[in-house]
This record gives sequence, structure tokens and C-alpha cells, in this order.
Amino acid sequence: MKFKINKYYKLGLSLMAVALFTGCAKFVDKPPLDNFSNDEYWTSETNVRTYNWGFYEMFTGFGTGTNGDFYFTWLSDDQAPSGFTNFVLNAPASDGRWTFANIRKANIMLENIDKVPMDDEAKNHWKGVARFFRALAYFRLVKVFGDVPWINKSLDISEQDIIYKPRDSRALVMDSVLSDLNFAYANLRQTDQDNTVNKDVALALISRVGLYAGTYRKYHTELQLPDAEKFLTASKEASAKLMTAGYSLNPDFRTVYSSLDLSGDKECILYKQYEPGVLTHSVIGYTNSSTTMAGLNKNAIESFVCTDGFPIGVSKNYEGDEDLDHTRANRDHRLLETISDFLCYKTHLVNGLSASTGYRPAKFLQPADENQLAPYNSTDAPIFWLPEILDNYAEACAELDDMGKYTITQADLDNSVNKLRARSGVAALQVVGHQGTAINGVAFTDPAKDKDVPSLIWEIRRERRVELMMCGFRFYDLMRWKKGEKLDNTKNPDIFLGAKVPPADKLDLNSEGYIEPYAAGSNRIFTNKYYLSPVPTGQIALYPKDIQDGMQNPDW
Amino acid sequence: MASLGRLKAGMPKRSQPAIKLAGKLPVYPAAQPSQIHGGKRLKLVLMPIMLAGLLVGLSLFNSVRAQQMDTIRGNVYSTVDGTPVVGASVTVKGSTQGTLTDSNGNFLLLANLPVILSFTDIAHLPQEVPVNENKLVSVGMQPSTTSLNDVVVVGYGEQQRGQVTGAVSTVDVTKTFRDRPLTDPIKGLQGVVPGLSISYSNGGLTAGATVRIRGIGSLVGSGSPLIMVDNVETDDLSVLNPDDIESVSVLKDAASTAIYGARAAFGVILIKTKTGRMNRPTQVTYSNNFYWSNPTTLPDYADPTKELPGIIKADERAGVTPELFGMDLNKLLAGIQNWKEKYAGTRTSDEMVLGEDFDMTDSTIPYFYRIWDVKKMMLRTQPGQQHNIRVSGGSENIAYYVSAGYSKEGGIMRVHPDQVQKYNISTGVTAHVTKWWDLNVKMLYRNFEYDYPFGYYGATQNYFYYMWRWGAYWPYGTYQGKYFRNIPAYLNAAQDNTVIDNYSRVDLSSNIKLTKDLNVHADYSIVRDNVVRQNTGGPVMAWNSWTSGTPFENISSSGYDYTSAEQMRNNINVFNIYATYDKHLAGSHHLKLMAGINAQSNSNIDFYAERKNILDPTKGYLDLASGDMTATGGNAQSAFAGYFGRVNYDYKDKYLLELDGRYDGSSSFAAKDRWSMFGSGSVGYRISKEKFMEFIKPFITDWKFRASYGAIGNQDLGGSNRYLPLMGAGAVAWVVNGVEAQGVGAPNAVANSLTWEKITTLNLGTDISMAHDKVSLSFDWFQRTNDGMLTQNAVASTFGTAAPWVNGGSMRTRGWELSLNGNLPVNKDLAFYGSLTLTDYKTVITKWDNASKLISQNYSGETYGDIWGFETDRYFTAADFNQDGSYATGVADQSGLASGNFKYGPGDIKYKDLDGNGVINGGDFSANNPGDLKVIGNTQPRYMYSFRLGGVYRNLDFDFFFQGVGKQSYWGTGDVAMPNFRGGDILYAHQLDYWTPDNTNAKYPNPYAGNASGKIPGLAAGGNNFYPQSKYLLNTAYLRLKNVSIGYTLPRQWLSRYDIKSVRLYVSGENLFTFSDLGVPLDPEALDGYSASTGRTFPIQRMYSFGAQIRL
Repeated sequence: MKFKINKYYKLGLSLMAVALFTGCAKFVDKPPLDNFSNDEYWTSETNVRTYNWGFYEMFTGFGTGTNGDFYFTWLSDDQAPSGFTNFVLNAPASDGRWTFANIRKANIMLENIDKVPMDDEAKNHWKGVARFFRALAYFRLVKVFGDVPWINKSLDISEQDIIYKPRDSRALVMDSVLSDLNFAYANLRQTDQDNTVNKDVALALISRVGLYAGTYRKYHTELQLPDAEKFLTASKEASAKLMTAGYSLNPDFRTVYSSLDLSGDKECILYKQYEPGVLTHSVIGYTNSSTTMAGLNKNAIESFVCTDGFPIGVSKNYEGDEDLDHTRANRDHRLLETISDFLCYKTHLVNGLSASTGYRPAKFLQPADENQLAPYNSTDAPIFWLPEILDNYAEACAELDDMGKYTITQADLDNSVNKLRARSGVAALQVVGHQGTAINGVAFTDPAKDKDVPSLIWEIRRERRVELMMCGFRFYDLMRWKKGEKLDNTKNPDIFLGAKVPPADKLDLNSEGYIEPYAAGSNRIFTNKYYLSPVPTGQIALYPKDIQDGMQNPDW
Repeated sequence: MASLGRLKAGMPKRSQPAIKLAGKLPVYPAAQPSQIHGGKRLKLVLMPIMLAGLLVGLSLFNSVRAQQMDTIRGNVYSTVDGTPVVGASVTVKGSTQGTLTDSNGNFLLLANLPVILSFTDIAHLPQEVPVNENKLVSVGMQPSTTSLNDVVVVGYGEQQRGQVTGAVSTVDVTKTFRDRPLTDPIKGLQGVVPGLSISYSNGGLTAGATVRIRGIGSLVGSGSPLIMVDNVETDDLSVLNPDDIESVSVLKDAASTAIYGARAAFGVILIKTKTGRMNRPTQVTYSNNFYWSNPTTLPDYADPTKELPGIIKADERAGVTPELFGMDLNKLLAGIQNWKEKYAGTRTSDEMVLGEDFDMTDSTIPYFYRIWDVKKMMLRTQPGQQHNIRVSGGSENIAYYVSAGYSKEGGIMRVHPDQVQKYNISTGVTAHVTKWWDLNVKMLYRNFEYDYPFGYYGATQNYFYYMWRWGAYWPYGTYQGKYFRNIPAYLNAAQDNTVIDNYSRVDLSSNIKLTKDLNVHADYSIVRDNVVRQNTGGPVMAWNSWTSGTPFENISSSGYDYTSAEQMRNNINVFNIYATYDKHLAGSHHLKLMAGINAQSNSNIDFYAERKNILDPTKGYLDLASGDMTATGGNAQSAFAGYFGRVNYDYKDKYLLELDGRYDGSSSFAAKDRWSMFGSGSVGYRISKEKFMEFIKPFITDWKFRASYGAIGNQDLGGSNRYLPLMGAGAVAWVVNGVEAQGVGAPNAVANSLTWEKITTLNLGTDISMAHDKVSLSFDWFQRTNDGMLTQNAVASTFGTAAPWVNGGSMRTRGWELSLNGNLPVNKDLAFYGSLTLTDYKTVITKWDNASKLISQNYSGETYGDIWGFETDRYFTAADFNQDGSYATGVADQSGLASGNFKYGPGDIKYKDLDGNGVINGGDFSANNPGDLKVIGNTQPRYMYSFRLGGVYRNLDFDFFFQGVGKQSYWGTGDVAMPNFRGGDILYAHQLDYWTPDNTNAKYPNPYAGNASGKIPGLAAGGNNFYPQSKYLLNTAYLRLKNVSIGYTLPRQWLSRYDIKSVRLYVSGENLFTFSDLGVPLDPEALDGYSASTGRTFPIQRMYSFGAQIRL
């Protein structure tokens, strides 16, 4: 009896052991419960959309802290930061702009979309989204660094030859960017959800990228880059499509920069929404606090024309800049709205406010915002909006005209920059002859015009400058026009001058009575190497020796 | 079979033979109790128990016959504390006659005199006593620690010590845990086992230990040993009551740990808890402990009238206005001097007098003049107590064990001390269900409650940061009964926050004896650990002395106006089944086979909820708050499984061989690596069993050589699911429909090559037992390598994300361990024992991706723990400088090291120009070109040692345990370690000896405010005069009198009338003396501190305790 029981037990135990043996392989398969893994994530369009939201952080908008695309982009010939600000003089070890994170993110999305059960229309839309953001990321890299390695797949750490490949030419990269954007335009939905990347947003980026690359290729002749015309044409055509797509200008120039809610704004193609307690920004706080503001400089103030349409050097209505009232008299309304109607500076605080130059930026203020302090401001920020498109259109037309590839018409101006001028009470610009300008039939040339720039292009560039002042465009506009010397105070001294004010103790004024925000001898000297930022040295050091030489930009 | 109950009822019945012994044995008649004891009262009490013991003894024998024999009566007791040794085997030498002692240690034997009686017991040294007359024999047995016959608990089994071939140490549980006020058993293991290091960085009530076996094993994972309590992984030993521990084994080499697979790469601590035993009468034990503790070493506050001149000097030199929060330090100094002259010694309360102790006006911040004994104001003597009660017993088929423990410890803060209370309940029942089937159930429950003041500065211990931050004039008293903005105000206002941790476990296990040689064991354990944490902040009303006008207002930030609740549940389910086959084969071959399966699944769930705007801080619950709510949570799971086996073979008990293997699975890896085979082997040679060694027998009883080698994988990759391309989810800074979009990020990069770290251990050892087991010595030499250690290398940004973890590094640890144990019984009344352990090892990183050997990272060839710094030469003198302040000819230029306004001058530290290039610098900041830097010390402990001396004299017993580290250093940062580290916060008493033109032989250099950072990347904190350097390197070597205990066992005759078996009273002291030459007045183990401020933490305590151990 005893023996028998043991036998059964033995049998039972053996069976149990066998059962366990087969069970154990699965037993230790414990995928994470509270984490997604790439292997199992790509199962629905909803998940694809969830993944896509992270790309939108590329749109900084007004930003928290001092990283915003507006006002804080003060290294330009428009603003004088509160402290002397120079170019980065030596190549740094690291630079957050040398990033490929969103490129990898987009490549991973592209590689996984086909796994997701959805129809081809949806797949193509989401591929378009990925390629749109990849293009945006590359556009930003090229603007800063010029040549960059083009990587169009997600990498395994073993693919060292790709991770450490030499830089590709900016021409190749920008061609790829345009091709990504063309794909995006062709395949994106007209509307996926409100205020998301769609066909119009793709067009807006083509308009921006095309103008940038086209003019860069045209003006940086030392690089002997091809196809300027292709990019300018792409910009012009994309802009033209948007100009007839139902967008229209707000009655007021400043609405788009100071609105608590931009949904339904006919001027906006894409905007960044801010909500109290959810997502807020700092631009109002920084232009409305006791911290010294980066004021507009004399050069910027003088770039605004008079309401008669003539530059101040030509207009009979210009009353000089003896004081602010005179400065503001008979001027482009955009000036009146870009700065406050009072001067404030360190010996003349107004409600505790002070600007480095006396001219206080007022463009982004919104007294109705429930919290005026940084970082709790909640006005919405435009990302792509019609005025830029109109300026892009006019400039692309003028540049193509200058190249003999297109003949600009009065209608081109009337459909673009003249709409902006009209809104701000400025007489329309007329084209006369080849690249000549006139107002109400009176031809003129701005005495302050660069000699190598035709009058028409000069006036269109001015339009862009005053319309989009402090909106983050100016620095890279100067780079693509090869006009870096405008940032050099030894060649353009007005950029380090402010308003003309009465003398006061402890206030530095120049001999003519203009505020000098910086100590004498604080000079910002531009040389050609500053057209590109240095590749961070810590990155170059990681490369094989034979590739390192080609990694850095000239003269760094 | 007779039950114990029937025996107790006085109905003795001859039991059937339980164990068959070889040969025919004589039968002993049951002795009449009256023959043994005369006293009637005693008789009544003792009779049933005596009978039980006797019958147990009798049950050993078969076919027993009575003949004319002499009656030998006796008693066996422990020489440690005089308590009876229960269940000791008493046999007549040269025969198989014998019996077991009863619950009073009494026995009775019939034998023909004269005989030699041999006494053996598992926990004591065997002893032989000649008996020539028919009389009462009284035998004191020495507790043994390393008897060859000791059973050593090893992985999934037990081995006799003499047959162990791996590196296994056991712990003398009684000496280690008894008398000591321990709430966490791991604390008691500090210094006890060679190769096992347990270190603390502060002395807080809940301070956790860093536990390592043979040093650090990996730079990524925890590197901690696997801790098993009754076959269940138990990372936190504080769930155990030290009183419930029966045995502790420490498995150190791969040969002994491979059976546990990839969680045991860095050793195993095996703990077995007590159980009831069959055929044992009821034992009731009560013990307690009451203790008080004070800090071992703390810095002293300086007299502010001496402190402030130094701070003013430092500030002025740094070009900083000498002020604090707007107090002009010169004015403050004058005020304090005035206070000392007029009011010092007249203060009888902590209430501060306006105009005398402090000044305040409506438009300035207040000035504080009164000098406080800050340590007295802030700290108190910590009280604590413990109570344990244990009941156990067993009949022939059922045994039980029940214990309950309670402990309460108070914290050191005077105003609002923290407190820990613990309740432990442990029970177990063992049953012989049938002759071949045993069933055991064990239950363990631990309730832990920690109450602590809300951490207004973040963690609770940040209170120490601020307590030590400013001088003794800071306001510790009250004005109008209310505190100023200082630590007491926060502590006073802080709500009691709690953590309650309920740990419970049920183990069910079963043994089935399939045949005489084959035994199958299976167990299943369910572990549930539930943690609930309740935190509530709220306002702190106090005189805001940081603001002009000193308003009485809320000084806490609105960020602390919240209440939160957190719950965690950790589950472990474990299943083990294994079979053991033990067979003595013909021709002196002995074979033991073991094979089994282990499976464990873990899950951890937690929720955290927080709500702002508490309605009433005294009611800190989520429903009673009105503001924003946040909730987070986590849900993780993991599993391990393995098929394991072991072969033990010995020939004539002389040649020993052991092979272990485990096919192990871990959920930490991708499918391709999830399972892996690990193996090890060990051999032993007992040379003393050779004929040619016979001559040495009188001196050396046993001598064994051991060698083992094995490779195990380490599955602890320092993070869960590291093999998976995980995608983090979170809110995106993009608003959709009024809320932030919820996004999922790009997956992190994973290398396909990622796999186990491979840990290989080679161990060579020898065990020598001398002088009849009275002295034993063990020595081990080992090498442990980690190949394929996890690293995360730098990768170009073009990769798009951080580099994946790869198996890119290697590390090697070499060391040795020595342990020596001795027992010296002098006579019946006097015995001594002693033990010594000594360990040393060194870890070298043998492979690391850092080609230029930058010292800011690890590099190949680096000794782990190395501290880089300068060699201090001397103070600069005026002769070292030219008139214009430039360096004189022949003096190395040190100006490149100066930060801020600092400029080296007379009285500043001159570093040695080691490379002789005339400039003091850090070269390329690399080991290849370190400039004038060198390795000035190492943070890893070397030559860890301990020794224990103890003994028994009659009823008195004593035990001294010393523990220490022979060589270790530390670069201390923060103000306690470096004067003026952070501008002008404080100078302590030990920092007043600074250089002045009149005091050129000072301990510290010419003061300068702000020495926190230097100019050499890769060096620890400190700059200017305080770059890491030989002069100010802390020497953390120490020797501690870790524990002293002295016990007195009351004479048994005093107690018997109260039915008490034994009472032992004892006093004990912990950390009574510490010998250390640290360099600053801190305990060498309490170097923790918020924000890298060495020493600003819970101090290590010196404890005094007393208590009693009572057996009923």
C-alpha cells in the first residue's frame, strides 16, 4: 500500500515538473504594464496621433522663460538686449540646436505607419505629418549649421557608419526638405483636427522654406548653389495658393499677436494655444515688468515709413525724432503699435518699466490677460499666419523678377504687401520699371538703401521687417540676404542707439543725445564665419579623425 | 503513538520505536521520578516533563532490555548563560546507548560504571565526561560556532560544515543578535561575517544599509546580494524580528550561489527562521530591552564672537559685503559681544527679550545676539524599547512556534521627534501527516509605522542641513511664545506624517520522503507588502526674520500647502520544488543529488494622489482639501524562474566534489536572452583524512582545501525592461481643446546585443580545525570579474537619442578573507571564546569606453573609488611672491586654479608641482596626463575587521565586539568639512584655527568665502584652498567597540519555586567607543548630508541598554 502511494506521488510530481517546465518559458515573459513599447505600440490611428503630438513642441511660440520665438530673438538689428550681446565667439562644446531627436522620431513614425491597420489615405496623411516635421527639423538645422548629415531612417547603435557619416551639403539636404514638404502637401488631409498640420500648413512651410533656400542660394554666390529659382518658385506658388485659400487680414495689425483666443482668426493658418493653468508663456511678463526690456533701437524705429508711404529720408511728413511725439507723427501705424506711446529708460521709469533704448516693445501686450506676470501669460501665439505669406509672396516675386525668371506686376504687390500697408494706414507701393518703386506715381529711392539692392527688393524687405518685427525672422533674413554686416555696430551704429532723450545723471547718451545702452567699446563685429554657427566641438570629438576635419564650419 | 497531552496527564505509555539504531540494544526501564528529585513540589511540576523527556529518549531504542546497571542522573546547561541545553544527545561512549536531555536539561541513563559519556548538541561543542561514580553529573556545554558537524544551511539544502567546498560563512546568531537593541537584523550583521560589508551613511531611525558581499560588483545595478528568508527573496530584512532568526549563512562564491541563478551574482544571505520542533515540551521565553542613545560625535558650534571675525575676514577677502540676510556682521558681532557681557548667564527661559536678545524695527530685519546651545535646543536623548515573547513546543507529530515582538524607537529631534513602532508576529506549525509526509505552514506579519514631521525642506533630514547652516546666535528661542523663522518653527508647525508598512507572508511547505534516500520538498509562499504614506504640509506661522519688520506670518511656501496619500503594494509569489537523493554507496562513495524548480513572480503597484489648499492641516486628507489634484501611479511586474541541480560526491569523506547548475530565466531580458545556463564547480580535499597526516591529529583535527569556480549572469540591469524600446507618455506643451495633448515619445534606443553581465568567481580556501574543534581558521582568496558590465557610452547627436546600454565594460575584484574562532573552556566555571575576521579586497575597472581616460568618468585601469586631487605642499609665505603679487622664481604658478576674486597669497594652500612644469594644473584632466593631480585616496573600505572576546564565569557572562575599517578615505564637502565652503554661513569651533600672520601653523588656511567649486572637471567639490587634496582628505578608517554586553543569570535555585526556568539580566552598550582620526568632528559613518554637505544628517548613536531574558 505504502509503495503504491509513493508511486502515485512520484507520477504526480513528475507530471507537475513537466507541466512547470513547459510553463516556465512563458512565466518569465513580463512585458511592462505601465509603459508602451515600440514593438506593440503601432496598432491604431489613435496611437499614431498620440505619438504625433510630441512634434508640436517644436513650435515654441511665445515660450516659457526666454526661449520664445517672439521678442526674445533679440540678436538682430531691431532690438538692443538689456546687456551687451555678442555672437558666440568660440565654438562651444555643446549646443542644443544640434539635435536630431525629432528627425529620429519622424523616421521611426515613417517606419511603423505601414504596420498600423488603417486605410492608405490615413497612412499617407500620417506619413505626410512625419515628413513635414522631419523637414521642419532639417530646415532649422540647415539655417543654423549649413551642411548637416541627412539621415532618413532610425538607426541602430551598430550602424556607426551612418551615425558618424560626414555632413551632407546644404543643397542636398534642402532638396530633401522640399521633397518631404511636397509629399506632405500632396498627402496631408485638408483637416485632420482643428489647428493641426494640414495641407495649408504644409504650404505655409513651403512658402517659408522656399523663400529662405531660394534667396540663400541666390545671394551666397560663394557657395555656387543651384536651383535658387526652383525654391523661389515653390515659395511663390505655395504663397499664392494660400492667398486664395480663404484667409484674410484682421482689421488690426496687432490682433494676431495679442489675442486671448486665436481660434477662428482668419489670419492664422496654425497657432499655439495657451490656457491659464494649462500652458502659459512669458512674453507679456517680460515686456511688462521691472526687468529692463530689450528695447527697439534707432535703426529699427527709422525703418518704419511715413503714412504717405515714403521712407523717412524721403517723406515730407517726417517730423524727426526730437521726442517720441515727433517720432510717432505721421508714421506707419505698425510703429505706433510695436512700441509704447511713452519712453522709459533707466533714469526715467514709467510705472517701474524701463527699456534699454527707451522704446518699449508693446506689440505683445494684452491687458485683458488674467495674469500679467511671467510665466503665466495666456495669449495665443501665431505659428503660421497670413502676413508672412504675403511678404513671402512679394519677396519671391521680386527676387524672381530680379533674376529675370518672372515679371512682377502691380497686382502682385496689391495682393500682398499693399494689403498690409493699407491695414496700417500706409500708402500703397508701386512698381516702376525694373525693380523701381513709386508711391502714387512718384518714384523714389530710399537714401538709406543698400547700394547693391534694387529699390523694389529693398522696400519689400522693409515691409517684411516692420510687419514681422520681433517675430523671430530678422536674424535669418539677414543671413540669407548675406547682410550680416547689419548686425555689426561698427558698420551700422544705430543698432546700438536708442531714443533721443534729455540728458540725465548716470544716463549714457551719445553726442547727439541718443541713448547708448552699452558701455563704449562694446562692439559686435560681424565676419563671414558668423553666417553659420559652429558645430559643437564635443560632437566633433566623437567622430573618427578623418571625418572630424569636415565637420566644422569655415573659420571656426 | 502517545501524545504529549497524555504524557502530561500522567499516563505514561511506552512509545513505539521512532528511530532504529543498528544492533540490539538493552532496554532501559523507566526510572521513578522520585529517584531523581527529592522535593515534592518540584516533583509535581517536573514529573510530566521528565517523563516526556525520558520517553523521548526511550523512543530512540528498540528491543531494549533492563539489566543490573547503574543509574546516572545529570543535567546539561549552556556555559554562556546557564540555561538548560534541551534535547542534547547523551550517549555512552563505545556503545549506542543513549538518551536526550529534557526541557530542564536533565537526563537519566542506566549504564555499567565506569563509563565515558559523550554529549552532543547541534549548537554546542561536543564534550566527553568520564563518570566513575553513580552520581548526579553536571555538564556545561560550550556553544560552538564552527564545529565540523554543524549543519550549514546552503542553497536548497544543508551540508555538514566539514563537507562544504564553497565559500560559505555562518553567523553565530546568539552572539550577534542577543542583547542588542536591533530593530533591523541587517544592522546586527555589520562586521560579523568576513566579506560581508554593511554600511550606513546616517543614523536615522529608518536609515537603510548598503549591503555588499565582496565589494561592488557592478556599476549599474544595485550590486546587492540576494537575501533569502526561508527560500523567499526578502530585500528588506527589517520585516524580521531578530529574535526569530535561527541561522544565517552567507554564500560568497559562485559555487555556492549558482544554484540561485542570476539574482545571486553578488552573493546570497540565507536566513532561516525558527520553527517548532517535535518532541519538545513547551518553552516560553520573554525578553526585553530598554535603551537610550546619544550621538557619538558631533561638531561644536563656535562662540560667535570668535566665529564672526573669521567670516567677516573671509567675506572681505572675497569682496563680499559681510552680511547675512541684511544683518551687518560687524554690527551683529558688537551686539553679541554686548549680550555676552550683559546678559549671558542670566537667561532662565527660552523666551527672548527684545532689545537684549535681539533687536527688531519696522524697517529692518532683526539682529540676533543671544548665544544658544544649539545641540541642546535641537537634540534629545533618544529612547527605545523592545519586547519579544516566544512560545514553542512539539509533540511527536505536531510542533508549533509562536512569537510576538514589539519595538518603539524615538528620534533625536527635540521639538518634533520622529518615531518608529514595529509589531512582529511569527507563527509556524509543523506536522508529520504520515510517516513519509511532513507539512509546514509559517506565517509572518510585520506592521511598521513611522511618524515624522512634514519635510518643509524636502526630506526630513534637511532639517539637519539648516540646523547646521548658521551660527549659534540664530534664534532658537521664542518671542511672545512664538518661534522665529528657524528650524524649531518648522518642526513645531509640521504635521505628523506617517508611513505604515504591513508586510505579511505565508509559507506553505511540504516534505515527502519517497524512499529512504529520496526526499522531495515543495513550498509555496505568498508575500504581500502594503505601504501607505500620508503627507500633509500647511502653513508655518512664525516671526519672519528674513523680512524687514519681522512680521508674524506664514513662512512656508504655498507649494507646501498640500496633502498627499500614497499606496504601494508589492507582491511576491514563490514556488519551489526540489528532490534530494542521498546515498552512501558501496566502497565509501557518497552521492547526493538535488534537482528542482524555482519560480517567482513579483508585482508592484502604486498610486499617489495629491491635493492643494488644505482646509485644516490637522485634518490632512484628500477630501478636506480644495485645490488642484494630481495623481500618478505605476504598475510593474517581473518574474524569475530556474531549473537547478546539484551533485555532491565524496569518497571516504576525503575527496569532495560539488557541481551546481541552473538554467535560469529572468523577465529582465528580451526573449533571446531570457533563459541562460549557469554553472559552477567546487572541489575539496580533506588532507587531515590522509594516513600520513595522522601525526598531526593532536593539533589539527581537520584540514581541508577548497577550490571553486563558476560563472553566473547578473540580471539586475539597474532598471526594468531595459531590453525594450520603451516610449514615455506625458503631457505635451501643445493645447488641444483647452487641455494639454497627451503624447507618447519616441522609444529609447536598445542594443540588440544587450544581455546578462557575466560574473565569474574563482575562490581558493582552506579550513583548519585545531585543538579538538576548539579553534578553527578559515582563509579564502577570491577573484570576481564582471565581464560585459553595462555601460552607456557617448554617441553623436545624429543618433537622435541617448546611446543604448551595452555590455561594454569589465571590472575585477580581488581579495581575501580570514576568520578565526576559538573556544577556551578553562573549567566548569570559567570559559572564554574569541573570534576574529579580516577582509580585504580591491576593485579595478578593467575595461571602460573612455579612451582618453578622463577622470570625470570611469576609465580602464581605474581602481574603483579612487579620489583624485592635489598633494598639499604647505602654506604660501610672503617669500613665494614678488612685490607685484606674481609668483617668485622657482614657485609654481597656481593662479589658474583660482575662482572668482580669489588670488593665492600668504596663508593659502600651496599644492605640490608634481609634474615639475612650474604650473599647478590638472593637465588634460585625464589619467594619462593628470598634470599635478594624483590619486590621493580611495572611498572603498580596506582591511575590514572585527573581533569578539567573551566568556562565562559562573553566572556571569560578557561579550565584547569590536568592528572597524583599516583604511578608507573620503572627500568631504560642505561647511562642516571645509570652512567657508558656501560664502559666510558658519564657522564651527574646529574651524577657528585658521591662518593669520600670527598663526601660521594653523589647521586651516587664510579664510576666503566661497570654496564650493574649482576649475578642474572631474574633481569632487571644492576650489581655491580646498581642492581635493591630501591635507584635508578625511580618514574614515575607524575602530569601534560596537557592542558590549554583560549578563547575569540568576541562580536556578532562586527561580524554581516560581516555575521559572531561567532569568538573565543584562546591560549592553552600542558604539561605546570609536577610535577615529577623521579630521573633522563627525562620526566616520555619518557622512551623509543634503546637497553634498557632509555630516548634516541624523547622527550615528551611542546606545546604552538593559533588559532581561526570562524562560518559563
